[in-house]
Amino acid sequence: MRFNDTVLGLVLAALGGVVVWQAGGFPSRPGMIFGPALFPTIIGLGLVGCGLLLVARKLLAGDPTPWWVVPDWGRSLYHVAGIPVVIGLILFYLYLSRPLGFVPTMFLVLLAGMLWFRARLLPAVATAAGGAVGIFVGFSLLLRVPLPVGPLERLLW
Amino acid sequence: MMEILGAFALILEPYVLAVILGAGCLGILIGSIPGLTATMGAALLVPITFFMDPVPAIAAIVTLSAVAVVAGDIPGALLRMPGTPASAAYTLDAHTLVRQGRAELALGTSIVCASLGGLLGSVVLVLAAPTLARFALNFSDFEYFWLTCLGLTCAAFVSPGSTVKGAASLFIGLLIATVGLDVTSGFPRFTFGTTDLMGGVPLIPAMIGMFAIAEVFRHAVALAPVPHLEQQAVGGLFSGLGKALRPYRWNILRGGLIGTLIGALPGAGADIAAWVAYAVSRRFSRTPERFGTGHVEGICDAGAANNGSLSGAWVPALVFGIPGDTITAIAIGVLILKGMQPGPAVFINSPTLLYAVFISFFVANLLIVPLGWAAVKAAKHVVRVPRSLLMPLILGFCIVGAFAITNSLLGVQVMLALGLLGYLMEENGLPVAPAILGIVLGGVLEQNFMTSMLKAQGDLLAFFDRPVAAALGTVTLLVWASPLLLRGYRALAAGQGRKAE
Repeated sequence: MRFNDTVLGLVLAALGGVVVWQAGGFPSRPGMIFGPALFPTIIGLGLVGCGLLLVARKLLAGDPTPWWVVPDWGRSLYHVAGIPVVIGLILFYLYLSRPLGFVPTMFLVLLAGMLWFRARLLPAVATAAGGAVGIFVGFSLLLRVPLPVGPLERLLW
Repeated sequence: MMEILGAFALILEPYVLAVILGAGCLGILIGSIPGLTATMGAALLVPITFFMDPVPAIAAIVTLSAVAVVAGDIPGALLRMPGTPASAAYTLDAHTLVRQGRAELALGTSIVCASLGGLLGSVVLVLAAPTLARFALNFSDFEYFWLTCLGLTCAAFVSPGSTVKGAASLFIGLLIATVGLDVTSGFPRFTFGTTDLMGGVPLIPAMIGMFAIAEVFRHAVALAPVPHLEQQAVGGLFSGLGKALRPYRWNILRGGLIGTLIGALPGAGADIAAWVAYAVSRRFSRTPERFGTGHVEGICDAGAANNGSLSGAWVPALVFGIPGDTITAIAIGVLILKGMQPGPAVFINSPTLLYAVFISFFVANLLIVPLGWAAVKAAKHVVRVPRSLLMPLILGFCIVGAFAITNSLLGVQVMLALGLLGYLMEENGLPVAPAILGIVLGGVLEQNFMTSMLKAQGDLLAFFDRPVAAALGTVTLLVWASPLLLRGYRALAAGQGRKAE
């Protein structure tokens, strides 16, 4: 989804406003103008400035771009669902890697991703299994990264 | 002298050489596959380099980026799909040459010019960096504050698209850098009440998100299937090349130097270097009309420029800790993780390490020739790697990489959040490079600013007391004012023009 510069400018200005407002609540030491709030306030004001400039430029130019443009992929349900699916795969890992253990979780994430991207079943299963085990061996056993260990890993090692 | 010998010993260790070779092979893969960029490759490499000593870690990043940019020329020539954005400038020329049956000339020129451009950039790096570092040793917080300002401003100004959007992207990056305990009082800012974010947003997961996850998102909504490579037997790449390139030897020199200079500008990387060098080449060519019709001249200039820029970007990165492009931004992130803040002190305290890094540039740029040859030979197979299997593997690798840096799920959460942010920003015309520089430099900028303010007791004029600081400060303010000044000048000129009529 592509938004025009008015929407983009308003979002940036609103973000800047929230930052300035939040920074106003930061404690300041008496007699000092520069505390934890100074830098975020400058940044917030900068965002507000950029946002308003974008809006102003759009208005002055009289540019008739619509509020938003739905790109070509917006017409295909498969592609629209693509981004939520990728987010879902990452969330799946975030929530289930600890109870399930690394290898099964990663295998499922890889397999689901490959099938979603329309890989054939057999190569997908093989690559996903190889990938999950390979990453586990590389990172957990060789590089000593504390990847979550579940029942399956305990059985194997 | 002892330092230089020591540096050779560091590089020639079998382990380091193996790392360099491995990184080069990975570079072939990343570069040859359209959609995977050199920066993404560097971000994916970080979780592994994290466990290495500084020299092999940096050598791996240098080699991977140099080889990936060259390998990116191959699908550019064979498929008319640049493997990395750095090859886009001359893809049309290279592809036309291939269609004319002169694939050897196109690819041979790319590889040789890239190697020469990269070597040239490395020479400039070796000569310029120590001199600048000696100069920079006298810098105080005031000079560093202005220098960082200037670097960040440059990133916003050189980014493609409008300056306002570049600036907005920069502020977003700086905002992300303020998350965590504040430098002066230790007050937690924008941590959303969690203790996880008190140490700030971890750099590397942020970059893995913005460069690699964002690419997975783009793949998820990409419509066009990857075209199949026509069977294209590529013969002897380098036979007769010397004679063909001889008329263009000054082009290669010019392209390499332009690339090195543009690389040294913060925020401008290999892609911008190639476009500028290509435009300069066309402007000064005796046969500008042949550009875009399978002419080698532009490939010489731009091919040398994009690899030169990779070396040039390391000049400000090593001397001032200000990355010249997104790849050095990642490299600085790695060095900071290892407890090494790049800066002039490194030149005094660990010269051996520095010389070893310099040598690795020459090794990497010499390796371009054999690895480039291998990449051409392997192209048929690499281009055919199914994206449906590759993208989920990249996703998995990103998850593990982000996790490995923080040893907690925080890294994965940050990666997801910034991946989405990076994707949305690019979709809406906000360039990502200024934001990355903001994230990397935000903390340093605030710290220099606060220390300077404390020293000056809040007196802003103190920022102009020292001569170098005054000069840097004036330049920075002038650059900030330049859009207004330019607009005023144009309005005046237009007014004059109307009066004259």
